[in-house]
Amino acid sequence: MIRFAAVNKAYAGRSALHNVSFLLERGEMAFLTGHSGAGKSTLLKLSMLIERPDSGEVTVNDQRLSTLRGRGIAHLRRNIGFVYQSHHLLNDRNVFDNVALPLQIAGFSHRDIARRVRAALDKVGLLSKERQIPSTLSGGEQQRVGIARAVVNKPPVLLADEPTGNLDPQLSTEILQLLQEFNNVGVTLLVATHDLALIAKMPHRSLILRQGELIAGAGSADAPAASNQPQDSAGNPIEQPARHAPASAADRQSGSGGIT
Amino acid sequence: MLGIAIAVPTLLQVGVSNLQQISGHNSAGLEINAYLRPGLDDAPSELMGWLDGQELVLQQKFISAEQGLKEFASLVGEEAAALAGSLPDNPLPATVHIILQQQAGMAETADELASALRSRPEVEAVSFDLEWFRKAEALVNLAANLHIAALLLLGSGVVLVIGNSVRVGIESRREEIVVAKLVGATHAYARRPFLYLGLWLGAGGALLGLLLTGLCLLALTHYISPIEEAFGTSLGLHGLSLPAALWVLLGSAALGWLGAIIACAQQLHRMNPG
Repeated sequence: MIRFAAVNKAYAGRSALHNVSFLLERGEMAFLTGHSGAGKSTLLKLSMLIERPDSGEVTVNDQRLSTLRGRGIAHLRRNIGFVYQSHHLLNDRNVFDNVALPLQIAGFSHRDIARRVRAALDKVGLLSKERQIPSTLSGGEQQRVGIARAVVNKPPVLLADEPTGNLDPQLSTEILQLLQEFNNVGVTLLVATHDLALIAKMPHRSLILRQGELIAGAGSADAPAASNQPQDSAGNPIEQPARHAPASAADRQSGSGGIT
Repeated sequence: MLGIAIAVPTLLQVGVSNLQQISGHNSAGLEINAYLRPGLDDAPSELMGWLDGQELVLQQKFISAEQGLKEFASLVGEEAAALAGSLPDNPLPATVHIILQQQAGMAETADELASALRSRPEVEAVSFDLEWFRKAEALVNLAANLHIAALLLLGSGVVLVIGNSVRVGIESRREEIVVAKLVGATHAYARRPFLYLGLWLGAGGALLGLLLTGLCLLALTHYISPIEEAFGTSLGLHGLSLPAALWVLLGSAALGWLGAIIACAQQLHRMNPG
């Protein structure tokens, strides 16, 4: 579903991703972890053509992204839901209209839009808040609006960039459970996060990036072995403090986890 | 600003078409009067036949001395006519009035025709004011050229002004555009509302410009009517016809659309997520 083949990407001469190859199967859910600046965001941006690789090939939904231009890029993004840490919600319109945006762009009828938006809001438990402006909602609620907007189009692929970044552990768990539910109905999911305590709770493969290199979790073949304790396969000291810390949020604040 | 940018070329257009009408009156094209020798009271068939063969001649009309006197009377009033009638002989010669075909660079060929007429035995004198004709033609040409220059300058002004308004509009909706592109908006989708904005600004500017033009013409008429009364003639200042006003509206809307396309091409492509 998502395939990276020998992908390199550099910004101003500084390598962001180096020779990254992996395959995420259809319907699979995986985490993408690593330090800040390890290349997580770059990898996600390459997956939906916000950026283009310097070399190598990215394939999403059986489309080789290097072949896409203009309209092709727009249509690719209609088939990828994207959940951001910073929500990217528009505060000049209410929750309903925010969630409706992808459907309006794709040209759905008013009736279909109303039906699908309400279904998505119901799914994330915010149906009662459809008339509110996003900025009046709590952080967790805003994130759920973002998720509703990402899935309203029923995309086969969902990408999430630090979806729990600003939330406390309990809300983070709720958000991840919500994402898990979409995976349960067949959506392919790639979640970038450095919340290792959260990862440890879920039986999914982890792709671990360090300074632009994928050091673990590359192929789907090693997914079962690595699924529960991805840190071990990495043999990476970065992972150690976080794995033993039950409350990662506290860790983050003290800086002991080495995570920003 | 937009209204003025549209009103100025529109007013110039009105001015030029009025000027062309005035000069057109005098020359429809150009006229030559050939005064015949005294005693020639019937149309000299040889001369008329010769004129028939001239390519430049649109129309020729023989006016006998008697007819000429009547026309003179109607022009100068009864008293003067009575004075002329009191003369023993009709002082006016028979005349051939010639209207020429209007064509480019006709001043020279008309001059040749006038010379040929002078050398004919039936003709005593020829009145033909080449200089006046040349001056009028040059003035109208100058006005028309000025008009085109103003149209180009102020037209590009309209494109720039609207382009700038659209740019400001795009900038103020940057966040929305970025989010829309992230969830799959094409360039065309992101651009559409701004093209409409340009179109409406252009059309609105045209309406304002037409209003200004109307007010200016009204003011001009106010000043022109005393002149017309003084001269006892009608200059017949013509306003903008409905089709012309529609062209102004359409043209301005098209310029607005163009300005928006340029602004979007520069601005929207830079507004990418990431």
